[in-house]
This record gives sequence, structure tokens and C-alpha cells, in this order.
Amino acid sequence: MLKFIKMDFYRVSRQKSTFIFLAIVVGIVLMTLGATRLEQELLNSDLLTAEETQIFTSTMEMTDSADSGILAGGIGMNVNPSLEWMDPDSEVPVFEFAEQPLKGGMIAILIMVYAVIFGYAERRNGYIKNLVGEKHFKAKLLLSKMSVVAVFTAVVFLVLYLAMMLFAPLIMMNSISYSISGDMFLAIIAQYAVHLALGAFTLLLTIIFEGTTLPIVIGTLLSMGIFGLLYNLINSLILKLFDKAVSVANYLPSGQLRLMNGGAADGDISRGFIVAGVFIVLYLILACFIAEKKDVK
Amino acid sequence: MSGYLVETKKLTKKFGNQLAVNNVDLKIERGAIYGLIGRNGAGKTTIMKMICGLSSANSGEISLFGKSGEESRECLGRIGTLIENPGIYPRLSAYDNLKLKCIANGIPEQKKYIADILQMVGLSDAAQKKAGRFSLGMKQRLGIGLALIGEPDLCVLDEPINGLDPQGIAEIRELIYKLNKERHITFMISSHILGELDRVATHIGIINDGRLLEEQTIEELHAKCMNRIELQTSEPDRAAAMLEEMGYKNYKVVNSNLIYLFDGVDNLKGITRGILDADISFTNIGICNGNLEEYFLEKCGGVENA
Repeated sequence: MLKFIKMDFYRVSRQKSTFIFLAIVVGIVLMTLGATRLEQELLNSDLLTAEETQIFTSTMEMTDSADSGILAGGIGMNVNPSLEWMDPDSEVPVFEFAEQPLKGGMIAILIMVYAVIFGYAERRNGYIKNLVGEKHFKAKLLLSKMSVVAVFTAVVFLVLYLAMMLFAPLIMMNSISYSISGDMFLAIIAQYAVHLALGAFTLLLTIIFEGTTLPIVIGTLLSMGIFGLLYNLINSLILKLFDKAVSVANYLPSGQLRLMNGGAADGDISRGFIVAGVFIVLYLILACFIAEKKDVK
Repeated sequence: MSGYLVETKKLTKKFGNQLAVNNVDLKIERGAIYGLIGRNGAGKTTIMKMICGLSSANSGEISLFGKSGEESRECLGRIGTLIENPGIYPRLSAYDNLKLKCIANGIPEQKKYIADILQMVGLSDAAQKKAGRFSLGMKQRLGIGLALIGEPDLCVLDEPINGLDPQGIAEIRELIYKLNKERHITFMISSHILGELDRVATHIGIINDGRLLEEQTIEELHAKCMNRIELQTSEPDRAAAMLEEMGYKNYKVVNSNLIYLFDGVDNLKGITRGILDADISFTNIGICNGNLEEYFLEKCGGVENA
């Protein structure tokens, strides 16, 4: 299997697509910072009336509470920065600020699209037919793809935080703090694990659907929180049937996306790790099993 | 199983309710160039995929290099494949496409090795060109190059001369012949260009509607193709019954006036006497020469089915 991993990493190094994806991450960072800067300028200018400012800030407060997990399962990709950072005199902790694109689902979409495109390429172009030789080669190839996705996800996180550290002082009006707490660090690692679980999920989808379109669509909808409607339905069913208040989003990688941040409770972070770990193993076992059973087209 | 390099027993594959491969017993000797002839959808690619481990059989057994069952899967590394279209990364160069497989096969010293492969398939000048910009013929050559990586003992090539120009076909034919003679690589090749297969194959298998109709050496096939008795008669049913009585079962009623008899060429007199004795009216009987294509069409049920 090590040979397949080496092969896949060689392919990554020879293809431009990986670097394009990383450039998009930098683009997302710049867009997030730029949008925040615009909001800051708007709120601190004379352009808005007192009433408009009130509406604007209350909208941000609402999305603030959604981010904290109270409304886990909310739909959409709009994650606004904390209201207190709108004050140019406040200090913005860069690692906390970098959570915006993570919680918004943009990075998750990027990772899932990459997993689909990279993971399915050799099936789409037929290169997999050149690779017969090892026993269970289909499963081994899949695990090799997963290792590439794992490294890619780590690099995406690295680029995200580095770009944020580099561009935040240039674009934001605030002073920037580079300090990181232990909890924040753990939350980042947990977010990484949750994103990896989503990557594994899309790899599984490519094997099931034998294509790229459906996995990308499902992955995108998942990242946008569209399945929140389903989760809420299940929650209310559980409440009705068992008289128990449970949030299924707490036990799914897609639900965990919006729960993890520096201020998350220890329980949330631990649960993030457990949920991600369990689902990664589950998805991979399923994907390997199905891949071995299915014929190569 | 036996000492054949590849042997299948009652190999069967279904796609839904459709029987794609039906109880195929196929044998490939070590050192052979085995040509598999069949029309589109006859089951050639499906058989090749099952042999290469890309597809699983519904029933039956495949033995590779004398090993069967799970053990045979350990021999898959000794097989080079080109199934259907050449599987290549279009945005990578020919060199990188070959290098990827070298890495997967754990081949050290890749630069010289790849250069040799590229030269062998005539792509030395296009090594750094993106494979997606190749002509179909060049892609086929690259596909064959990929199949040759790792010094396989068996090369399974599905339509390897598809899309090649006449010069390219001749070169690939020479390459297959050379690799077979010098490196003792056994080949399993499918093709629609029967004349080409006739030129290079040592053994021929004819497949139709998922069934392997015949399997023989090229010499045996030539003997059958070149010599057959053609009987022109207005009573084909009686003539057929008479042939059966005489023990000749390898015949074909072509139409209401014509019967081909593939056996008994050396007994034309005896057969003629038998027809006369049975008082079957006929206008002509004689030995005729055919060719591989005619023979194949007859076996597969005529032009309308081919």
C-alpha cells in the first residue's frame, strides 16, 4: 500500500489542481477579511441611520448565536464575525477569527470537492486498470487516496491559518492578537478531524455512485447545513417518541462543523474527536468493502 | 488445475438478467499469443476483466499460473493489462504516466527503465508531451507501454491496435511478436481486425453471445478455413441427416441450397458416394478455400449477426 501512497503523492506533485485548491483557500481568507473590513467601515461610518445600524447588529447577533451551536443545523454559509470585532479599537484574535470560513462550510466544501476529484480520477480515466496486481488493490487504492486527503486537509488548515495571520493585519482595522489557547488548539485539531470525516464520506459516495456529480452536490448541501432540516425532524421525532431532548447534529460530522470553536465546551471538542474518528473508520470500512465488491467499469 | 498459464472453468458472468459470459472454458498455454475473436458485446472484454481481477465472476473458476481460487489473485502482479481504452492521466506527460505505474510496482531506476519502454512503443520523442494531446494511436502505444511495466509474464490486451494507422499496426504486431519470442511474454489479445490476429496469434478462441465456440491453434484453424466441402443441394435437410449418419457433425446449413462441411475433406469421394446412395439431388460438391473472416462469420451466425 505504501507504493500506492507514494504514487498518489507523486501525482499530487505533478498536477496543478492541488495548488489551485490552495489558492482558493487564500482567496476565501481574503474574501472573509475583505467582507469584515467592509462591514467595519459601514458600521463605523455615517452612512447608516441609527435604525439601520440596529437591524444590522441584531442580524449579526442572531448568526452569532447560531455559530455557538445553539441553532446547530441552521442552513446557509453566512457566518458573521463577532460583533465586538466591529469596533476598530478592539483586538481580534486571529486564530478565533480564522474559524469563520471553517464554520461557514467553505473549507469543508473545498475538501470534499478535492476528495471527489482526486479520489475518483483513476476510475474516471481508467488508470485503475493499469494497477491490477496486488490482492485487494481496490481497497488499498482507496486508503491511499484517504491518506492524500488527510495530508491535503492538513495543508489546507495550515494555509488557512497562515494566510489569516499574514493578511489580517494588512486588511483589518483592528490590532491582531496571535495568541492561542490550549482549548483553541484542540478545537482546531478537532475541526481538522471533522473535516477529514467529511472527506472520507465523499470518498465513500464516489464509490457508491461511481461518479463525481452526486457526491459533490451532496457534500455541498451537507456543508451548507441543508440536512439541518432532517436533523431537526429526527430531533422532534425522538422528543415525541421517547420524550427525550436530543440533537442528532451533535453526533454527526456535518453537525459538528458548526459546534467547534475556541469557546466550545470540553465535551463538544471531545465529542468532535470521537464522532470524527468513529465516522472516518466507518466510512472507510464501508468504502473499502463496496470497492472490493464492485467491478471496475 | 493444470499447467496452463490461464485456465477458466465454466466461467459465467451476468449483468442483471443478461448472460454476458456463459460457461466459458478457456485455456492459454505458456508462451502463446492467444487471439480472442468476437463481435461487439460478445463477452471478450468481460472475460479479460475477470482474468485480470477487475471484475468478479458469478460462477466458475479462474486459474492463473497454475493457481486457483484466492491463490490465483496473488499472481495478478504478473499480468500487464490494456483493457478497453488506454487508462491514462490526460494532464500528465507520457513519462509521468509511466512513472506512476513504476512507483506502484516498486521499480527502482525509473528513468532508464521508462526511456526503454518509451522507445519500445515508439514514443521517445513524445515523452514530455501531455498524454491528453496524443492521437488515439499514440494513446494505444502508451497503454501498451503501461501494460509492459513490471516485466509481466502475461499481457492482456483488449483491442490493442484500435485506432492505429497501418504502419502503427505493423509496429505493434512486430512488438508483440518480439516480446513473445525474446522475453517469452504470453499474450491474450482481442481484436476486430481478424486478419491482424491471424498474422500474430498462435491460438484463436472464437466467442459469440458469451459462449466460447471454438478454441484451437492457428494451424488447426487455417486447415479448417482453407478446406471445406461445399455441397449445393435442393434437399439440405436430407443431406444434413445423411452427413450426421456418416458421423459428420461439424457442418453448417448456409441456406436452402448450400451446406458447408468442415470435416471430411479427405473423404470427398466417400461423402459423394453417400449422397448418391441416399438419392439426394445435388448440383455441385467440391472442396473450397475460405478465410478466417468467412469462417468467423459462419460460426457467429452469418453477416447479419456479426
